[in-house]
Amino acid sequence: MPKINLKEIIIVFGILIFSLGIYIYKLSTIPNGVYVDETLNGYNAYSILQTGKDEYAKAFPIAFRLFGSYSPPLHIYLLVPFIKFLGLNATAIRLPSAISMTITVFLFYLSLKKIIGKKDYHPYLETFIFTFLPWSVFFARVGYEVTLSLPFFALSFLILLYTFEKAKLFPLAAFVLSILSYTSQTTRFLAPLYFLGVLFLYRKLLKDNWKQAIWGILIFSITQIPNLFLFLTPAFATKNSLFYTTDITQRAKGIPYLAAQITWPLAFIKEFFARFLAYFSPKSLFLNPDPDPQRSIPLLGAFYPYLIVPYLVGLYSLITRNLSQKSKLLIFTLIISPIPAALARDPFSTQRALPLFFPLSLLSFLGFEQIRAKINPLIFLPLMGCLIIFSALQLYRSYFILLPHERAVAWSYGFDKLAKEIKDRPDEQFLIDQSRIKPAYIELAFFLKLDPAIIQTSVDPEITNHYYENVVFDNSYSFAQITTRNIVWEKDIYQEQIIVGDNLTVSENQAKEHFLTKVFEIKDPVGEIIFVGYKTNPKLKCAATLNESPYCRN
Amino acid sequence: MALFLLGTLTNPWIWKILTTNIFIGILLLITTYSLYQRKKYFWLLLFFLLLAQLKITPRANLIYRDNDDQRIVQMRLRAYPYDLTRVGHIIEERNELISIFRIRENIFQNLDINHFFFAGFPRQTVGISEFEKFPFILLPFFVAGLVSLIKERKVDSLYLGSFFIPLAILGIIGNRSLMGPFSLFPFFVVSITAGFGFIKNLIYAKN
Repeated sequence: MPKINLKEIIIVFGILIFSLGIYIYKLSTIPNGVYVDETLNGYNAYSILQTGKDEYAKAFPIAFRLFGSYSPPLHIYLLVPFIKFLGLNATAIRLPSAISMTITVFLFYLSLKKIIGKKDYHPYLETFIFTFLPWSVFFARVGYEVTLSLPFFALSFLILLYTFEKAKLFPLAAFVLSILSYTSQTTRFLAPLYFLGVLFLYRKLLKDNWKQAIWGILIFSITQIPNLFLFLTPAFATKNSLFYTTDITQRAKGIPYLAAQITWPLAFIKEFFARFLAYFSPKSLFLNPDPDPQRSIPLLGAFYPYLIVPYLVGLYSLITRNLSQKSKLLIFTLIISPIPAALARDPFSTQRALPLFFPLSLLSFLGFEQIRAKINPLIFLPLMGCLIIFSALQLYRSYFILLPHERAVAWSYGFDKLAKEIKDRPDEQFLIDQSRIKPAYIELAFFLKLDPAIIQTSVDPEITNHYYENVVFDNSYSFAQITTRNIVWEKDIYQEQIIVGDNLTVSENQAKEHFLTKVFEIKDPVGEIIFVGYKTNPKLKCAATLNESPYCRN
Repeated sequence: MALFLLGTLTNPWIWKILTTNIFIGILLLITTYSLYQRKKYFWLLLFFLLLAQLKITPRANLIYRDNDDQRIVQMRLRAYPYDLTRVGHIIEERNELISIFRIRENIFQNLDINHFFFAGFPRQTVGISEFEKFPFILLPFFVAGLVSLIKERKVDSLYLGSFFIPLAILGIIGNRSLMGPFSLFPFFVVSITAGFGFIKNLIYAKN
């Protein structure tokens, strides 16, 4: 291990405190709203804490059913102590991500130092910039499982860097890689792929140290037993629908003269490589935000635009130099990391490709170091000072000013207010229209801090009994005073209740025709209506229609 | 020469240009050949090529904001805290900053490899005519060519100029030409040709 002096400890500690500071500043209010994926994780952790079972009454599952996605479990189990001490709220579900990213910052420092490998080289400036890269800040402040995968991925990379010198570390790297597969959907597929690649990359070393190789393979295989069990159930394949089979078939049909046995692989290669390369495109990385407004910062890409220069220099230096083992590991990591994301339909998903951003950052800062070595410090430092200030301003503008304002709806803003409306009317029944709104049951359960036993009893017992086989998710729920499903107009207007929907659910004419009275509306920070509540009046409606509907006669 | 012809003529881009404007097509072929042969008169031909690019490309207005842009600016200004309103006006409304952002966008558009080999797929740009310029099977040759030229230290001022000068000009004029950013054509073809050569040598060396 390298020698660490006191000065280094103080500076690195300072950077880590700074990063944690950025990651937890206004954590509960920015992003503005708590997205369904976050409430889903949070409420299931709450359910485990209270009852030892998830929302479907399954005791300690090895993959959580969450909207039928069967996500790896580590994140939810890790949330349990945070919810125990901080309560069921946005801070408790986002804080583990902030801590995960802070650990990643530290691992980034160690990895870059190891890769550059120069004596007395301390990548303080590089690590400092890394702390507030747009992607680091964004994923440090959301309660997603994928952020938890980063420190595990970074740690396995760091251990593998040291494995070149100490083969004894290989079993440890195998263990961390195996744990990585339990952190997120992406890494469930990435970890085994990466492990196989590592076996190939380290083949000479492992041949000479065959005992370590066997230990590593054994540890990885044993710790993968829960995943192997899952592999034998339909729960493992739920993400298959993300694959672009239709696109390939259509593209293959467009290729003339050739047989299907040739056109299909050709079409697949084209679809795959177009997506794969998008993860290395400067336009996607340095300029355009993720196309999903819920997964991006307004007007900011994953990296600051000026970092394209060190990125290209980093690539150039990897090409021109004789490749060291460490460089080979970096290139290999760069190539493997976006594969799961490139197999999904989305044109560019920062969430699925999150592990890629770690080696990409290393590559960019490798180029950064090349530039620094060639430029006079009297020019380099003021230039960097200006760029850092400009980047910080860009981040402040995009993340702390614009995001809470214009991305509130994307972040499920307003459910806390809707929960309050429901709480304030304990004697009313509520029907939440689900035709355009994300699954509302989990948001309401989260904000109302509903007893998990209530949700568990509202679930079909068949789901609990055949937990890993029953993969189809239905967002219709009925619990306490709340029903969530699509509106059935022929029936629902004849029942005494409050119908909740968005601004398109009930038109002015419909409200008049069915004697609906607006009782509340909830607006987003831009002033657009997100929820409207209408109270039904079955008596008036029945009287006006001369009890024509069968629901008037009950 | 055979490899050069293979690189120049096996892409739909050159045929699209030749059928749309034969003069530009011929100029492009000569310019590409002069770059391939590393002739000094490449600079003069590149100058004419850039003039053609300037003439053909509908100029992007770097500061114009349509109604929707203005609505977004007003919405964003409302997001700024009261004491930062002045800063907000500078960032959201200053023409200088807007033009810098647009130039940056135009430049990055042409740094996107998918723009040339996959018609912009999977992240096509709205308002730009995206078409496949080179068949995607030429992509490995392009990468191999680029890497081999860098590795063999064959990246000279002509080669760099064939990329960076058109890139800068396209940054200012935008990418709305129906024939695409054809001033970058010589750079791509020479790189692909180098890739053919590299792979050929690799095969011969193995045999």
